[in-house]
Amino acid sequence: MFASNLRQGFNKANVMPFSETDDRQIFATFAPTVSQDRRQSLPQPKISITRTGLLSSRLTRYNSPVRLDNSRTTHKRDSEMVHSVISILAEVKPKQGELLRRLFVDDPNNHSITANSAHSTPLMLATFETTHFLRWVVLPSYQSGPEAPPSPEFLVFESNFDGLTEDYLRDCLAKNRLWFTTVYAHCVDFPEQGSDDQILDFLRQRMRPYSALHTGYPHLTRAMIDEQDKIQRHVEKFLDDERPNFAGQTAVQIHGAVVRELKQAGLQAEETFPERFWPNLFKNLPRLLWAIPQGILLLIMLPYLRFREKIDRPIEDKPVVPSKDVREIEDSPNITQNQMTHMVPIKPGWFRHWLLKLVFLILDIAARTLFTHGRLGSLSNIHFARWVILPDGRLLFMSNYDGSWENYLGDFIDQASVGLTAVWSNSLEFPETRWLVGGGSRDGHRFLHWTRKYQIRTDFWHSWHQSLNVKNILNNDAICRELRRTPSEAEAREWLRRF
Amino acid sequence: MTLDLADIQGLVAFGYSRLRFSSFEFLHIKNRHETKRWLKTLPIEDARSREEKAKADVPVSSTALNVAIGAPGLVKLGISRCELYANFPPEFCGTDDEGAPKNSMGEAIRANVLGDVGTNDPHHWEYGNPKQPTLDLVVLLYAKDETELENLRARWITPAIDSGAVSQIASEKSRIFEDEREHFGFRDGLSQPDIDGIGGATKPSAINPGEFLLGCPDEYGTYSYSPTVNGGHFDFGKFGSYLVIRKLRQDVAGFHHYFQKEAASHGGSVTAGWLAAKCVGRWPSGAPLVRYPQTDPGMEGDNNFEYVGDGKQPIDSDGLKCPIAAHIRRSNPRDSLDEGSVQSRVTVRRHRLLRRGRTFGERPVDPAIDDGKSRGLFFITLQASIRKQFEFVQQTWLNDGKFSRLYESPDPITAPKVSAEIPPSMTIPQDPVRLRLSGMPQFVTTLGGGYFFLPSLSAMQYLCELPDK
Repeated sequence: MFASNLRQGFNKANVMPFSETDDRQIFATFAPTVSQDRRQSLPQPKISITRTGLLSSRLTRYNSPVRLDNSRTTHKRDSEMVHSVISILAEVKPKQGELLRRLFVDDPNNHSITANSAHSTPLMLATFETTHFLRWVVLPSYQSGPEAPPSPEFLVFESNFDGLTEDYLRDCLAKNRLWFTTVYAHCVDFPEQGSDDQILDFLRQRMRPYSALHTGYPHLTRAMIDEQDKIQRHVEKFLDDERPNFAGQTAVQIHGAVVRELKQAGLQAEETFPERFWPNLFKNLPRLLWAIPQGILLLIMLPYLRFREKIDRPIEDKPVVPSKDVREIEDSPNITQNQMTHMVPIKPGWFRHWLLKLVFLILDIAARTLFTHGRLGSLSNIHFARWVILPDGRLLFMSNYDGSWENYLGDFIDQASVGLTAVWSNSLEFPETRWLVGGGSRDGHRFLHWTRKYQIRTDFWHSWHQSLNVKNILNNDAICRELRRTPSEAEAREWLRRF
Repeated sequence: MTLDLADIQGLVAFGYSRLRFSSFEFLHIKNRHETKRWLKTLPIEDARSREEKAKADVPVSSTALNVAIGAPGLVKLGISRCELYANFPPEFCGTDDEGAPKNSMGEAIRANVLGDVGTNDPHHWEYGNPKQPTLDLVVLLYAKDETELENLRARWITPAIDSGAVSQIASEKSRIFEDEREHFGFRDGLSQPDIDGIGGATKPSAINPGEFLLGCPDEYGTYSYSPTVNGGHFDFGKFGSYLVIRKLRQDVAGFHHYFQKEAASHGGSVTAGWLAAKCVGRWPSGAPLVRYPQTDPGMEGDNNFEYVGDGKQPIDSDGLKCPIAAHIRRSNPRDSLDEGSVQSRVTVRRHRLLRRGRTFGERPVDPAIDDGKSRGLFFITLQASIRKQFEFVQQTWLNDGKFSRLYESPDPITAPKVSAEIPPSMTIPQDPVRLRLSGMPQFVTTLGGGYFFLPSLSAMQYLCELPDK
């Protein structure tokens, strides 16, 4: 019955395994049109993108006259990964932050942390066919000094999705206009009665570039992840049922049986993009040329850095009682996926601001040349994470990760302290650092206190593949890769151990 | 840094395994003044060995007594409420609606972390939930036999109850059986960390004392956090430790039935004993599967082993010998965490537990028959951070179905089973095709418990001498 359901589900999908697909048709499904039925709240047929389809759509967009103002900076890696990430920062009208927060909370189906059902909400989650994760956060206002005027509150919209920003925003707006106008009516300068184009302009103008980005699977679209998930589950079930009949068979024969079964069930893994891209050194030359003199300047200024490090005041080693909202995240019962929004002021003065930007530049170059699989370092439990520098001198960190809060931050302490310390040592009260990358987050106690202190509430967060962690997604991808070829006996054995 | 063993309670150094009979006295303070007077008289065992005690002319007792205090007890004995909440870790300090201290383990937010949901829900607990009288003190008594234990209790506990100083919430008898096996039939308590500075010659694998004692060097290269009191003038936490006690019921008949049924459904190709051992990660004798993958050698438990190793040929990284989801491979992953064997050893050292657990209830005559009697074990651990050690292991390694590279596979032995969209399973890797167990019932149920602070002897004295307000 399971198999027949799957088959039915698949027949509804637009792309058939053996049908001739034509690029134009795929492009049409990929860039959905405004005329689609807005009331439709059931999950829509999965849209699948073949490799050529996505590339052609991308090329089309690149040549199109409509280009986003910030597109170059906002999705720098467009040509290198299949996702786009956006962070839209809109100023909240005075005293309306609380109203806005309540908007996210009051909605009975949108709990701040998990929004599982979308049937009665103005935000129709099922319409976000290409989104992996999104969140809305109302950033509290901030006073940089005793005399400084408090900054306004900001509403941040973070989204991680497949394809291009322009198409994505247009599509979101077309299907959820009521939601967007309700939410953004609380923001300054929002054209409430405006046309779609005016609203789009409003959103576009408020996009902020990320400073550093980490993605767990830059080569996989949501459609691929969903399809591979179905395949993995189907094979697990098949292996359960057929195990007694496999006695005496070789691994290659079992692999063959699995391939035949999937073909019968109408499940076929599409080819995905390569996991890594080939770094384009020539394209990165300007960045390198820009970074090298600054690096030299940093070397000259090292004694000054050390001096600052000695006088900077780190956080006390004393438990920080997290706010109720943050405790709920730390102690969330469902920890397959988790999230964190963290915001800390950058240390005052030009030196730290400059140094932070230099660190981000170096991380950016490293991501484009060395860590071309999207991950900075070895962490394997982060879906999407990014830093964004806010105009008021705060550093915003938004992460979509797997597992418990404690485990995630433990990884920061145990495995990723160099990069994190280089970035966060430029922010207030970070544990004592030596020579930019030493110490810092390795002081586990203080690092956890500090994180708790500056972690803030996430008002709305949703994931579209809640039951999968990064390791599952990558394992599913590896399973599906092996389905497309004929393995040797040893390879087939290895492959079977993935179940 | 040298540890002042005479100031540390004995439970940190010893499991008292020769004192097979024990009783845990959960007490609620009624009269602060009387309680302090009584506490002052208690002969609390310290951590010095027999030889050291003999050298120092301290009488060596044939019994042992240790005392730990819950967050509400600390306030009743004179720590200010404000200092409790400001200086003690948040996971230790519960609070009720009026802001008064409560035992935190039974609070809803901790229940999420610990998997105390469904039948484990604190509302069903025998003691320790927020609706019940607070667990202010727990006195742990250890003796060689039952008569001695009764004498110990009559001498030290009964007078405090009779004088009205405290009321008894529970007096829990527990023991270590001769064969050191728990009720499912497996040898227990084999994997214990060595602590640097305690128990003779230091082994290279010994863990810094700050993982178990407050105010000492820990595995981060810093000092474990120690709460101060009296406006920062007294280091109250130093040489103390946090004590976690959980009463867990074991469904012995359910355990046997399940594995019998599964073995039968696999056509006799596997035995129930083999399936159960795969879920535990050890044979009943305690021999680890990673060393003895085929059959139980029936020998003493071995604890000096790893899962991956540093050689070219990994020992068992795919779990063909000991499944990745097996209980002992997740409660102490050794070198098998995904970050690689070298880093894994470092990470695991930061999440170790000093285990002091014991069983309760009689052995069933026939394990296959449910005689309706309650039996199980007292899960007892000592650590410097409840959150980083006990709660972390429980939440991230045991109860999370996504442990390591798994999909929906919480700990087969101890995890709670709640209705999930995707039913949990347990994969037993085999060549060429893995075996998968599903439809597992819950074998272990939480019946109660609490978080306590096990103070140093000097902190205990400080507490007893605080003026009554």
